[in-house]
Amino acid sequence: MTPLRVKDFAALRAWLAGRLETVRCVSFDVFDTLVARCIEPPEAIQRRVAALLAERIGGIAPEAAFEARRAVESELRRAALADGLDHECHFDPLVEGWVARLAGHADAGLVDFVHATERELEALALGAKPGARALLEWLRASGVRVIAVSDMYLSHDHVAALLAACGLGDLFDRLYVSSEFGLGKYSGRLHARVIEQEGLAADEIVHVGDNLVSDMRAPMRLGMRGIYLHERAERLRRRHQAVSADMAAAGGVWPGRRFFEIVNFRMRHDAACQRACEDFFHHYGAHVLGPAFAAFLLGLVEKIAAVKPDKVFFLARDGYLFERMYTRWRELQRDTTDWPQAVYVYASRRVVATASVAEGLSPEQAVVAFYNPKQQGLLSVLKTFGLPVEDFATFAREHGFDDIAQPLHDWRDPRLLAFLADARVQSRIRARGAAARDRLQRYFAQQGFFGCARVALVDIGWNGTIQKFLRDSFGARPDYPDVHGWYFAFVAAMHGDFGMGERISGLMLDARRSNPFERTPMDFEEIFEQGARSGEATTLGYADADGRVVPVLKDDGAPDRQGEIACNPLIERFQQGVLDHLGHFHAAWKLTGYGFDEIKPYVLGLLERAVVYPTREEIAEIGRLVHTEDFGHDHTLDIAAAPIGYRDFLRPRRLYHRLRTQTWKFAALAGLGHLPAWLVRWVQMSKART
Amino acid sequence: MRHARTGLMLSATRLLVMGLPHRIAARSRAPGFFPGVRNVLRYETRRLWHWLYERERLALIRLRLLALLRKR
Repeated sequence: MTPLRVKDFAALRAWLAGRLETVRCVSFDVFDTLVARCIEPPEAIQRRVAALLAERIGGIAPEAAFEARRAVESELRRAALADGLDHECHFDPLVEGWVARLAGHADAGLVDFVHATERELEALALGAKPGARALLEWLRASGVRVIAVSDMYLSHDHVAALLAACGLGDLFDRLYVSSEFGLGKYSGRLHARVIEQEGLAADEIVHVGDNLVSDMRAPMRLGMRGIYLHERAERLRRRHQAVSADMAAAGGVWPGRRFFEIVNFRMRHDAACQRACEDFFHHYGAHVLGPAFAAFLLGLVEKIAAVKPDKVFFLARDGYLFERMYTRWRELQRDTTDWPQAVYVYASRRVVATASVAEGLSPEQAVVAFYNPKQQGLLSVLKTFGLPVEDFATFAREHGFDDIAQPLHDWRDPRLLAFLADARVQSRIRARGAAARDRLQRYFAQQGFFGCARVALVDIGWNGTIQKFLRDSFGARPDYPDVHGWYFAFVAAMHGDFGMGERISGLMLDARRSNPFERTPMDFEEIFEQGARSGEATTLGYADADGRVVPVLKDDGAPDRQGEIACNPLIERFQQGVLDHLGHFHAAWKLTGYGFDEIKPYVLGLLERAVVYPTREEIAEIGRLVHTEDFGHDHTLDIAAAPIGYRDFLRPRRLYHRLRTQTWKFAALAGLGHLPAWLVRWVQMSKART
Repeated sequence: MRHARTGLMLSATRLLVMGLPHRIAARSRAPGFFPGVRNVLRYETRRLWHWLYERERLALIRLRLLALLRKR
């Protein structure tokens, strides 16, 4: 009989279609034939179970626990050979022997733990290959008996449960597992048992599998038709993932790269995710923002486990997505129960800034208004601190401000200093500030902020302004909690770390670390804010309603708000992509056990690619978003401005100014190819060093 | 026609090139996405080896030749 190879399920179906009258039973190998693992090599799951068991027992190194498992398995296989069987071993005695060896005694609880863990991880790792279900359904509809034959140490019920989890459980007439018989396919003895139990002639059975020996040569020796399923791309994928697993030992970017290979495989095999990713914004959420925000969330989870805050406050508006992700993570991570309560609080730099002037406004405080590149002098100062312009217009004129909206480039401007030194001005500021502080205080008290021993604030970044203003306003209260600020990126540009030290932390970027690889979020802050924001408007203040303090949001009729509202559906698609990614990210995390620090370097690489080397489609689609800046001066930013051409290099000064003021500099350079962006990066990095 | 979108996976070589300004111009030894030249060579060589050589494929060719000779 000539060895037969098919390249995919379609070719197999075509071959079988012409022989349905003579073939009475088709037998399939299970692992790597009908179902594929997202993590390779398969031993990786056993290593992970060993690590979790070692952690549970305590005082055992993961590698030692894994070696103990191999030793027990080897003993069982030798014993099977001595009994005249093939060198097969069954999971049940393996686990009992393994636990007894590690714990020093039999322990039913640990045995159950290993069973449950291995089942859970295998179920997470496995998925039906595309086309597998359709092929099996077609065979059954054609009246052919369909069976599965697997060389596997897991029990029959365990393999059946895994097939059911992959959506193939109802498609087999019978399942044969080598561990139950003590016989393997490679020796031909399991195939012989199948022929005997099926009561068919050998030439009436076709066996399909991905192993030349077990699935083709052995059945052919018995007179069965053995078909070798040779999916080259899939075989290479498994081998490359195995190489990645070896490379992960080198540290650096490699563990993260291996991690996202797993996520990527899972996402490609998730039909719903694939369909949704046809949409650009969903795709961008799943492939760019997803890894960044999911890694940030993993960092948060690690921080929560270490610091154990009583409550986690997600700050409006960019904390909105993080709160959704945190809730989703809690649902996925059911074996952890002591999660701190998540509270979404309406706060903004504006409301805390207004409260912070209850004791008056100093020139040092006023300077924050000038960080806005489109600042309008005294007008921006008044807006930043929520002070009504009409209350101060007369005093402004008295102190020489003919045009209150004229930009100020020197914060020690004599007019500004005189204005702020005026007792009448300060009296009005204090009155406003005191009222705002009172409402802010009552709002935070209502949310359970005070009285907690320890709380965490979570936001996108960038300067920890809200954390600072809260401390400045209420830090003297005896029940003011120990506040930790955890940000996606902490640039520390406005107030440094205001003495918070380790109580403030930027997970993806922390300027205090001076790590140039972390720079990317600073180069395009807007995309991260857009990706994380809620659809609601920014908080302008608070009001009393029915005995409660409620947030007052910006009017939807404002022009910049109208732009935002129009973009809300796009933002929701971003966020659906991120949440889709999170499910697969969580599975990969369970399978590998990698921590935030191991994944982060690769995520920084993904961000560098997306921000510095964007594609034309990315620039065009992201350019549709409207980004508003409402701290001090309400305006919308043009995210992706007109591209730069080679002609622009003839006027270098103008080009320099254009690049300097652009929100997303690298989008403007993208039309020239990747080299200019790479050179600009080189110059930036050289400057950063000097 | 829509171009293929850049997804989650970045090649090791691309990471190497993107990381050069950070590693060399900024002279940073901080943990980042620079994979290291030796690591990239090791990784790509092993990938190439797997791409060229497949034990199963060679064994299949041998089996087919044997079957052909037997027929003759």
